[in-house]
Amino acid sequence: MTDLVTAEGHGEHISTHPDMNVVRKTAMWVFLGSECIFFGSLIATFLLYRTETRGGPTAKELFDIPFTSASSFILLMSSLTMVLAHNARERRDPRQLRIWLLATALLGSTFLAGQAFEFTEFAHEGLKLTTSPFASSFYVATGFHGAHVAVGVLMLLALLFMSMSGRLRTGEGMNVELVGLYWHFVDVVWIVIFTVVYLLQV
Amino acid sequence: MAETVVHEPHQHRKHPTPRDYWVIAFILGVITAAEVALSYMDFLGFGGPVLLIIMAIAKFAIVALWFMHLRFDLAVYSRLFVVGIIGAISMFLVVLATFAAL
Repeated sequence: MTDLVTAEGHGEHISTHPDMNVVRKTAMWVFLGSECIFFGSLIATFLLYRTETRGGPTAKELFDIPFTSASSFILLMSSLTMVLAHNARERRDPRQLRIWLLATALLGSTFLAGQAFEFTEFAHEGLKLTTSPFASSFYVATGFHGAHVAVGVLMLLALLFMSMSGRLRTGEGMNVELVGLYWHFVDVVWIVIFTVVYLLQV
Repeated sequence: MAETVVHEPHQHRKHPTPRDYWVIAFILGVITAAEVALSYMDFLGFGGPVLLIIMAIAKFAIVALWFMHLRFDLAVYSRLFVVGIIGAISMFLVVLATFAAL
């Protein structure tokens, strides 16, 4: 307990003490585990209401699989750039770290732009949030995922600016690793959503 | 106690190189392309959805094991994640069973 209080009082100790790194990483995995349950409930709700269209457009009429596949591919590749950023951090190569962090943030932003475009198209075709239980459950499941991606992009940009301003010290690599874990998690959730919400419905 | 925990991650497994990560990403891309192709093959019947689910599980496992380093990290992280996945599947089944969708 005393150790923890001391560590909280000195920010640098939190990041550099190996035991604190294990604690922080464990906390992140607990968080990700709870997020699995959160998204599990959203996807289950979608499956429950997927046929309840109430006269509105159906999944088969709306979904543009080639477009969503391209978005999925972009998000998958952002996991590659994220792991390369992490690898650059391990090699203590700040230039490569910044390049790959920026690439990941750009790919994430492209995915978000694609989702915004998709939502706008669906709305034009008559699928509003309150059109039907299908519409609500679809927008909530995919929208919450998009919100997670947006948070991830902000964290990536924060890391990038910290690195550029010299505030991402050598001992603070755990920050990159934790953001990386979050980012990969967002990717694996999309793998499930892409299959269950899109591919299995057309 | 703390010493044991800190040293466990290495487990004598060689960490992937950047080249390995590119190969893994290529495999993920190929599986995604196969998924999209499969979604258009109506003649597969019930086999189509089953194959799509298997491919999604494969992609999920590849990202979790290699990109999230679960294969190389402390076993406790894997256990925590598996508990979350079991919780998600349980939640999934309970929701669908409660509303008579199963």
